Amino acid sequence: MRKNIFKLLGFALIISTVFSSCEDVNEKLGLDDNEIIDTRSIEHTLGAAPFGDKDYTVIVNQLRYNKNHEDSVMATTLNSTKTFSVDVPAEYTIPFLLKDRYYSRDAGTTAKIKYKYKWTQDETFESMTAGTGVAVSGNGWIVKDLIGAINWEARSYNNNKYAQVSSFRSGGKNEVWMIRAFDLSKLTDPLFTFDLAVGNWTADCLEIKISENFDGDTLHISSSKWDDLKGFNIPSAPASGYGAWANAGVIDLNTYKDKEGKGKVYIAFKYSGDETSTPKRTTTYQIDNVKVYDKEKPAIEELTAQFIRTEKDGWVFNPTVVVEFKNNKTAYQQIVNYVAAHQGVDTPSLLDSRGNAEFYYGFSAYYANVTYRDKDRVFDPSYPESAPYQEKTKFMDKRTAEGLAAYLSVEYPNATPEVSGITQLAIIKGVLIYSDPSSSIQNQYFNYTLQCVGDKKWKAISRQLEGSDVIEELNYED
Amino acid sequence: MKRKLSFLFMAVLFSTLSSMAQIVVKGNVVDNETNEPLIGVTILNLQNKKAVGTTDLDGSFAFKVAEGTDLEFSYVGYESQTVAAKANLGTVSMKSSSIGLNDLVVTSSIAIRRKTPVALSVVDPEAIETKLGAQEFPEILKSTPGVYATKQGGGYGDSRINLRGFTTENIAVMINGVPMNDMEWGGIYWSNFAGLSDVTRSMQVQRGLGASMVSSPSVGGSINIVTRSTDAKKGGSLSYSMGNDGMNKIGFSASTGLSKNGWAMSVLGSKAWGNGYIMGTDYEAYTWFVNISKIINDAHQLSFTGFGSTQWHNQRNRNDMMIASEWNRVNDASGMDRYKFNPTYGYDENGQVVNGNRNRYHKPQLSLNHSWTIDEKSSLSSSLYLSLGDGGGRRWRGTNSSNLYGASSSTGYMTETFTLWDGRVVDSRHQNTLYRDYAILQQNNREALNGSEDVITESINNHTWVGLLSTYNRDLTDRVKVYGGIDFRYYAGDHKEKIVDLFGGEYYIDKQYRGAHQEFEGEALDAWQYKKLGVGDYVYRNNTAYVFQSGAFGQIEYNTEKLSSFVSGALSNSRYWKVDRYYYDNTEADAKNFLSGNIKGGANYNLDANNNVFFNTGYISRAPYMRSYFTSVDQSNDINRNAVNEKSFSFELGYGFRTQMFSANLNLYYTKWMDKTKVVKFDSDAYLNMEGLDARHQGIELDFVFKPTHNLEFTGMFSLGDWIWDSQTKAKLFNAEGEQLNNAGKPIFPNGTAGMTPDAIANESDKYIAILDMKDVRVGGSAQTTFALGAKYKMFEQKVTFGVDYNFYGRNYADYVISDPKIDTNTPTKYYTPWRMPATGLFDLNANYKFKIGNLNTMLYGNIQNIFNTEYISDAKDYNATTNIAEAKGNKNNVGVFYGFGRTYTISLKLQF
Repeated sequence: MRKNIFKLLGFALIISTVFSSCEDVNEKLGLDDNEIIDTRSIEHTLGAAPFGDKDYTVIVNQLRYNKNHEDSVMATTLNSTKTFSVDVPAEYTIPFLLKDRYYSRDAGTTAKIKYKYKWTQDETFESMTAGTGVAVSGNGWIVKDLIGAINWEARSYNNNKYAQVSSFRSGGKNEVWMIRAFDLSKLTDPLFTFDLAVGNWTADCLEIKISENFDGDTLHISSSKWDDLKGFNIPSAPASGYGAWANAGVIDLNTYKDKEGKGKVYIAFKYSGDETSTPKRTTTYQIDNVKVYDKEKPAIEELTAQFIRTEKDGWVFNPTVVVEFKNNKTAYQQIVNYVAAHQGVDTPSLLDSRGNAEFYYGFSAYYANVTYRDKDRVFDPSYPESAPYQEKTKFMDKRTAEGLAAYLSVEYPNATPEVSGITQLAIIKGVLIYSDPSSSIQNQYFNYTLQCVGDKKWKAISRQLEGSDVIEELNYED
Repeated sequence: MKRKLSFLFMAVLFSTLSSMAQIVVKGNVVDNETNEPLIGVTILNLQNKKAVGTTDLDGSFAFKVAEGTDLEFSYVGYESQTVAAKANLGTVSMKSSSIGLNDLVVTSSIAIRRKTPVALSVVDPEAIETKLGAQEFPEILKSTPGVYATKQGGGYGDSRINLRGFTTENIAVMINGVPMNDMEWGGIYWSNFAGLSDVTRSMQVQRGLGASMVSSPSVGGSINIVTRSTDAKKGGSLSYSMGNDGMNKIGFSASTGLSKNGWAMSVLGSKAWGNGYIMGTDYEAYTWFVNISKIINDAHQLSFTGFGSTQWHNQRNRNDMMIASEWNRVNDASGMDRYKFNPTYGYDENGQVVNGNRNRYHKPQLSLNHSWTIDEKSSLSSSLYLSLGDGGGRRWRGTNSSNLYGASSSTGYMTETFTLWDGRVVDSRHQNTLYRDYAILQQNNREALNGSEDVITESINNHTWVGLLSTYNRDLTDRVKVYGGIDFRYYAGDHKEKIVDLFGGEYYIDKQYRGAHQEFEGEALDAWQYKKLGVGDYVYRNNTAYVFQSGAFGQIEYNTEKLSSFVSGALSNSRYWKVDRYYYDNTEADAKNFLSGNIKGGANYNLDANNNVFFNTGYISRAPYMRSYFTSVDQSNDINRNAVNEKSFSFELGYGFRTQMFSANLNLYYTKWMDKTKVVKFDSDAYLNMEGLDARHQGIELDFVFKPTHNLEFTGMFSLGDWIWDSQTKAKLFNAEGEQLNNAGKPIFPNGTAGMTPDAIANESDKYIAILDMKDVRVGGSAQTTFALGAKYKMFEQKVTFGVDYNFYGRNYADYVISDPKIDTNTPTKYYTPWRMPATGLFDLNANYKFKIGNLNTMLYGNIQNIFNTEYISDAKDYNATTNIAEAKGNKNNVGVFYGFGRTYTISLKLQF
């Protein structure tokens, strides 16, 4: 039918064809040459204005939406504490917020997020349901009587909740374990402590143990290797009634930190009771405020994590530092200052009299560039002025890399080679290399990648000429 | 004041008799083509250049003059004729000054009094020239029975017209016989036809079924506009008008006259510009018109007509009605004229006025008409036409889009706040002036996390429409005449929305629409939803709607000296389809054919020279509109399975009376409108598809002309309508994706309908129905009682004319808001008659003076509308029609209104050469 009209209205259709716009043609071909890219970096402190607690709500909702047990536990913890911890890793959870909030950002965007991190891993038992016969459960606790059928129970007295065990009225033998995992990997100086109250003492029944190879499976309790944690003050009294709550002492866990590269340990409260023995072994133990903490760190600290939006995986935790050097005179000046404080102390000629350029690495804050000219570099006594051209540029390339490493060591003094299992890299963009030994003008911008290899130590691993696809590997011996 | 005459023309009479004695000269003047009497033809004594008389209501004249005096008969739109005086001049038949009009009479279905059995009113060229002034084009019809025209928001061209209570979709508008009503929704945006008044030669309004044979939406009536064609005489004109609020207009026209080899050409151009009566409604329009005619031979005549007007105008949104207390607040707070206030008026950070409501359009209308006189008894008239629409209206998209309207469309309160990206809600208006502070939005867009939160877009509605209309007529016998014809139309309407201003940000992400779509054909959903859009990119929609309509019509007439009767019928097939490029990958929706048609009949009987009676009746079945066929046409290819034809039945009786001094027409009509479908869009982007809505429009209309002396003329009109909704209607609710919803707002087919039989789908679908009970609710938006009285007095030998017109509007009910209904067949939502606006009466004044500057005929016109600066409400919307409030009282706090314009004026000067 449509063909008929084409015939009938041929004249008019010719005109209409003429009028049909070129725009439509572009549309059909899918031409779109001005793709808009947004990689504006993000800095935000969780919980701060303008979003406040909404920051946490977004993450909590997504965790719940994920519908798995682990995430649900994290959601509950984060919702009540609004802090991150080894149990609620920022690296895993914050990307949910970034995805929701900064949906416009393209691959390559970095986000620096400040958040509260709880170093202390503790248990106050306050979140548990308490009562006679109610076993301790949740928060990662494993409770198992390997011989009999009693539990470490969650109890409440005077508005305080705690864990309690006793073989009194068990009618038999008991070996009741109460085990929980602790992560020591991020702690510099881990310590362990808990509070204890003893009641109706008949015999010493409590041992504190630690395992590095237990896997969380109750079937493997006895087959795992358990070390005794000794040195706690565990009273052998009173024989009647209950003693006062007291701290059981502090034990250093440094020997277990990062042993075998894991840092995850299980600490167990092992109760061995027997109501049939003589004397009976039916002492009641009450445990509270179980805590692994860091001697060097506050209980809660504000930390910054960096995330990068990637093409493939969306937002991922990535500690890579990105610094823009193009026209960044402040950054160049940092290197001049570094030389003034180090090499320049003994060799003042390395410094320009105006204080804004140095000739050891060649960085000039005045021009925001790195000079490769003989006439500048000769102020450095170590500069091989008479060497062949190629050798001189090689010398200077190495110095440039070292200068950037020096910059990073000053700017990021706390950097460590690995952050949450990810290599710490730094990308320095737009380093301007000015001219060459023979002063024939050649300005080139380079992007450098450096890697943190130790305390205040960085190593250049590659560089790339701006606009080029070729990555030049760098490997300088110290 | 409406002069009853018609067009067309011809013939010259010569007289060789001469005598110096004073004699009484008698005769009558008619249009040479229609034999309609021409009323008010000026007769000039060429000897002393003084007017000796004018023709009466039956076209007759009688005056004393010396025998043999050369008399000049002149009339706007007709060629002047010179005749020597004699006692009995008999019939002077005058010829139109335009070439090619003859042909248009056939295709335009121009009705003739005392012959065509329809109720009609005519606006002649003189009335358009002297009375339109700065009024909107449809307002020239305001003194016609059954007509209600308003300026709505008040922007240039933003007017509307209702006829017998029917809205624009039911009023056929034809220009030179070519249908103009939108192929998708049936209505007219008058702003697309800016400048039409410059090119209009005459207008005829046929109320009710009308004489048109073409299948057009005309249950309310038809407005037939005949444009200028080519002046037979060589010459031209220059004109300039100025008026209130910086209104200016310059224009020219020129005509070659008819050359010896049969060619003639006319051109016209004008520019109009002004600040607009309402704040921030400045405009500019360039109108062009060209006509080229070629008389090939006695049998064939070709005429090409092209016209258009490229315009832009800033607007006050027609949905920005506010409750009275809000308008009052404007006055209190700012000292500004509240009647001129535009609630979206404001400034950006550079101090520039911002108006997100802006329309631009250019719709060149080109037609090639061929008239072929086959033999003495038959002829063929054809029109091949092309219309190219290009333009659209601006609007806001984004977080604040609903607050960026001036007022809430559900409460009538001025919108006052913006929500910023960080959740803060801030005042958007300057405390005293109530101007909008758009700088807030620009700053917000710059600071927002994900690009601009609010952007200005242009909602583009371009179209290409080609059509062929051809009518053959033949006199079978002296008394029987047949017509037959074809009507083909192909229409492609592009609907896009394009970002025109990011308003401070770098890009825009269409979260509002793309984000809501869970499915998308084409690129990856995520990449599509979060795509960064810049200026020129599309948001919300990008589709083309197609309509192909093919029809045929026929009419048979039986005419005797006293009786004229006809039966006519038309059958037409409309095929709708759509291609979507936004939510789909260039995917074509299911096409569907709808068959529609009409059958009409009527007869006029002239009892004697003074009295005639007529009746007409008809039944129209009309295809549903595009918007009814698709559940959410802009965002989905889903179709509405329940779309059915709308039906209407009409019956009308008329009586006409005509003497030398007095003529009057009386009509009674009854129209039943059935199965109307109506689509309502809610703020939440849900669509309510109502089916089976019935209405009843009946009434009585009277109009008259009384001409006691040659220099004095009274006109009058009275119209009493009884227009009500007459049924309960069933409605289904759809979301923006076109899915039907249940009462909880969830899709009823969450998993799609794959594998279900059509019956099963229909069964399930019919369970989720809302009942809207509109029985006995008065039809709103149009005054049901109107009354007009006018007087015109000519003096100083008819060189100076004064006219006064009074128009009264009563029983004018508000439109009402359809609110989100309950999807439950047991709980109908009852609607009550909405608020009644206070009745009002307005006076207009016009005057003109004809004189000569050198040899040039010069005319000076002046118009004042609403002389007494009367405060009145022209448009209203009731937000709470589900609550029963005693009729006419109502609660003004639940009604949003627009006040009509206060006093406005224009002065025009026209030079003819």
